[in-house]
Amino acid sequence: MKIAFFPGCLIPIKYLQMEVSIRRTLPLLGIEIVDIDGFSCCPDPIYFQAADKVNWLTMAARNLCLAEEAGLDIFTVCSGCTCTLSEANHILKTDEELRHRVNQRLKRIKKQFKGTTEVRHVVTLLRDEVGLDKVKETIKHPLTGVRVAAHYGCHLLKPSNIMRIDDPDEPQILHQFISAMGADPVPHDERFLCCGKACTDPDLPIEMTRSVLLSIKAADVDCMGMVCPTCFSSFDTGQLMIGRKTGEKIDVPPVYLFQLLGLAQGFSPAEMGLTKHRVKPASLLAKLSSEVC
Amino acid sequence: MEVIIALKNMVQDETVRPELVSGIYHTIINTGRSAPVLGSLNKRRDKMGLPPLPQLDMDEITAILAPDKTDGNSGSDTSPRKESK
Repeated sequence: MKIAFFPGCLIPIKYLQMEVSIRRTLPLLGIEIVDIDGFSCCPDPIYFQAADKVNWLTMAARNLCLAEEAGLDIFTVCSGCTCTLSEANHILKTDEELRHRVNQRLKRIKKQFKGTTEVRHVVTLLRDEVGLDKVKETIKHPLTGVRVAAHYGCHLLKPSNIMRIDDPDEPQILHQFISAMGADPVPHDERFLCCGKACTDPDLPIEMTRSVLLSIKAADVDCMGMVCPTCFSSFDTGQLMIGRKTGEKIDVPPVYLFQLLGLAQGFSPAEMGLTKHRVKPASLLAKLSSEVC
Repeated sequence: MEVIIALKNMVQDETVRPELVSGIYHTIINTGRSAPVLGSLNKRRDKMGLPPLPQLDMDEITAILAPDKTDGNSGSDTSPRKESK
C-alpha cells in the first residue's frame, strides 16, 4: 500500500534514528512510503492550539490538503502529530462554518480542504491494514525474554471520541505490537501518566517523568517502549535532568518501538541508532547478543 | 486529559499565556517547524541514509496565517484563543 509519510518536526530534525527505523521496517511489511514536499509542523496540539485555534486549524488543514492533492492517506509517526491532524480533520469535516473560514484562508495559496484523506498513526496501520500476523512473518530474531514496559502517553488515545484507536482506559495496541515482536509486554502502576512534557511549571515535569520511570523500574524491565518522540525526549534527556536534580540514576532506557521492530527484523543495534540514546539499553542489547550467539 | 485541555483553554481565553507557549507559537509561525533546523542537518541525514529534509514554502504559511479581513483579529498572537463554537 502507498501512503503519505508525515514526519513531523522532532523525528526528522532531532531523532533521526527513529526515522531510519520507520524507513527500514515498513517496506518489509509491504508499505510504500511516499514523501511529500511542503509539510510544516502539524502544528503542535498543546501550545499552538492553545495560542490560536484558527491558526492551528489552518496550518493543519494545509498539511491535509497536500495529502489530498496526492490522493493519499497520511501516516504519522508521532502521537502529537496524530492528535493534531486527526482532530483538525474531524473538526473540518464536521464544522461547516469553521471549514468555510479555513478554506477562505487556504484560497490565498490556491488550496481547498475537501475532506478526502484519513490520518493514521503508524501503529494502527500495522494493526488494521498490514495485520500483526504479517508483522510476525517479518521477524527474523524474535525478542524472546525481552521485557518491555509500554508507555502510551496522552495523544495517541485522547481525545478518545476523535482518536478511536483503542480503549483509552485499558489500551492494548502497544502490548499487541510488542508481543508480535516476540517480546514480553510488562504492565506497571503509572502506565496512564503523562510524560510531563506539556507542563510549563519548572519542577512538575521532572516529578511526573520520575514517577513513571520509578514505576517502570519496579517492574524490572529491559526497556520502556513508546511511539512518541516527545515522550522519548522526556524519558531520555529527562533522566539526565533527574540525575542532576536528585542524584538518582534510574537507568530505564526508553526505546522507540520501531527501533525494536528493526532489531527483531534483523537490523543491528547500530543500524537502528540505539547507540545514540543518552540512556543506553544495556540489558536489552545483552539479551539480543546472547540470542544471536 | 480532556478536562486539563478544557481548563488550559479557559485560561488562554483570558489571554493568560506562559512564556513557553508564546515562544513555541512564535517559532512555528516564523519557521513552520517546532524545532530549529541547523545548517548541518542534511549532512547528518545523508550520513544516516535519509533523504534531505523536505522543502517547506514559508510564503504559504505566512499567507494563510495573515489576519482575516472580516474580523481583523485572527492570526494575531496576542488575540484570545478562538473556539470553534
